[in-house]
Amino acid sequence: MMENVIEVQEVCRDFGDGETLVQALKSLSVNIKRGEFTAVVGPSGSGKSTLLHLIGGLDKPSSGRILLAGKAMSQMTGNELSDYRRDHIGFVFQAYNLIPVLSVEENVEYVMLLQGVSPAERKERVHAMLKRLGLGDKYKRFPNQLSGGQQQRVAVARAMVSHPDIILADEPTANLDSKTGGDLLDLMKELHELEKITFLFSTHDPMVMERAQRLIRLKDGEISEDS
Amino acid sequence: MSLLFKLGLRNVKRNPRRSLLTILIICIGVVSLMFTHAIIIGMKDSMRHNATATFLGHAQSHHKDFQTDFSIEQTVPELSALIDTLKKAPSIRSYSKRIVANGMISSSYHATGVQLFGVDFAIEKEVSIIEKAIIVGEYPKAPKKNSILLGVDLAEQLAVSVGDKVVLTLTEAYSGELAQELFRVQGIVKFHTRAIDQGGAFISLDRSQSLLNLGEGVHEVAFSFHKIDDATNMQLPVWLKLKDMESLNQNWEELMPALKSMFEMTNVSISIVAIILFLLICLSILNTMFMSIYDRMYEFGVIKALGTKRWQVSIQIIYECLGLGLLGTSIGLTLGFLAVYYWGIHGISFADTEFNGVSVHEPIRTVFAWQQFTLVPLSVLAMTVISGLYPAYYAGKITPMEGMRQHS
Repeated sequence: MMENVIEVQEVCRDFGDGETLVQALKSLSVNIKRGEFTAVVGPSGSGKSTLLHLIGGLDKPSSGRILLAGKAMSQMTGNELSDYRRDHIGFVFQAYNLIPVLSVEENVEYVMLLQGVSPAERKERVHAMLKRLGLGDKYKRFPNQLSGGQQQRVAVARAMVSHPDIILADEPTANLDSKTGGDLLDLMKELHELEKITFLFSTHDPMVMERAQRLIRLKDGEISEDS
Repeated sequence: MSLLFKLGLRNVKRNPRRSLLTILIICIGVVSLMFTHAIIIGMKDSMRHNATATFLGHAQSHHKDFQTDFSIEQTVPELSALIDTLKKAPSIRSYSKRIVANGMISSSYHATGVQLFGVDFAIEKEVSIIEKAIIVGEYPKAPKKNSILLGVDLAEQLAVSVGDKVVLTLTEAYSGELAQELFRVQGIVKFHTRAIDQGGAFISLDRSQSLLNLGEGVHEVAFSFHKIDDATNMQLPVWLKLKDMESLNQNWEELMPALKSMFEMTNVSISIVAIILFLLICLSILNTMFMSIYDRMYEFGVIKALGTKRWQVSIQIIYECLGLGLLGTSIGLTLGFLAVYYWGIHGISFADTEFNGVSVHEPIRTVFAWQQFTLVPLSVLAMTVISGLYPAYYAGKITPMEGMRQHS
């Protein structure tokens, strides 16, 4: 039986207070197992992104707790949370979010640099990953010299190259046309199957849903379906 | 961390116009500080030179009460011992004995007050610019007994020129009798110093001594050092010897306290200029860095999300400031060097301005000093980095959610 990478235990996330109180997540519990290819789906405002932000250590729950490999995130200090994100989480954002002043190669090696990986190993891993993602001839390009699909592939390379426990992809195909989006998802699926990387998507893109092994449907901050 | 350094420097290029403006302000700051420092050194040198070389000398000896009482009888005590000390001192370049007395001078047309200087024309030219100050007539190389040199404005007031006759009326020492003597104008001098040009007259030392009935006595011994800085080095053997004498021996700083005060005020002025420029640079850097941070809030959110620590974000901002500072100071140093070099040759004309009785009749030239190439750029660079500390702290505090929320 596969171990849990993430355990979300009765997590609530409230925004505002009094009359303006919005409960984005209502006592939500869910486990993500290692090697899963999961999509959290639901309409806007259902709490998908909030859940991903909490799992990614970008935000803190109002109550409840989230465990990564058995360790509670709520007990982590600011620096520990930074280390947690750096060492365990890979992010793929909707707007690619590459660092514009760094080349493709430098963007991909950024997290490894923070991890203190040696320059030679960084170079080797970056080049291998970029070749695998079909960007072997674009090491020295800058983000503004790439198409949207290429930029998102660089973002996937950046997320994967540091071997995180889980990759959180927040609407990764939202800014791509359906062909490019489909190709990117196929690539991610292929990498998942080959390397057994855990993917957790937040999306309302049917293409993601078609490829997901598990669908967690959210409605008004609660799980309405987990299949 | 080289990538963080690279990131900081590349962000400088990100908004070229904004970075250029900041670099320009840093550059102006460096050039202004270098130039102000250089022109103030030049001005001080020029004024010190003009003050001492015109007529004062680097130092003077008097009877201790002469400058307050101005009594004719108050001649320099122990004169031969004093002269002997000056002659033997290797640091002394030249000295000149002088008579200084007030009297009346009259021509066929006018009469007015005069400050009479009795000088040894053969050696006075070694201490003051008297020979170069001749504008009409000639310097009395072998002066006739009744030759006189007149200040240019005094000659005009008396309506006399070279070859004309004037009568000097003085009070004799001890007896108080009036002494009158006829002189013939041999030259007209322009010292660019109001006091001498408007009321100064020069006759030979021995003639003035006999007119005033002073024997070998003199009122003033002006002397110059080989190096002007020795004039204010009171630990020099010659000064230590002079200290034991009865005469009042003063260097140019003591003789012209107003000039010394003006130099001190100049130092304060340069500090004020420096503070204003530093403030300008600080505000500019603060403004640039905050504009840059607000433009990149989302990016800071993203790099924080990727696991970048607070100090690593802050250090990026510091590197940016360092990059701006290095560019600004390098360009500033080059331009500052060229400006100081150019005006060091051509000078800036102050067209016969007089400060505290010291004329500035020659262009003031900028002077290089080591501080312009070390203290100025390093302090500007340090100030640039210090100005970046608060923006760096602010950027470090941005949380991933705060940053990424700016995008939506």
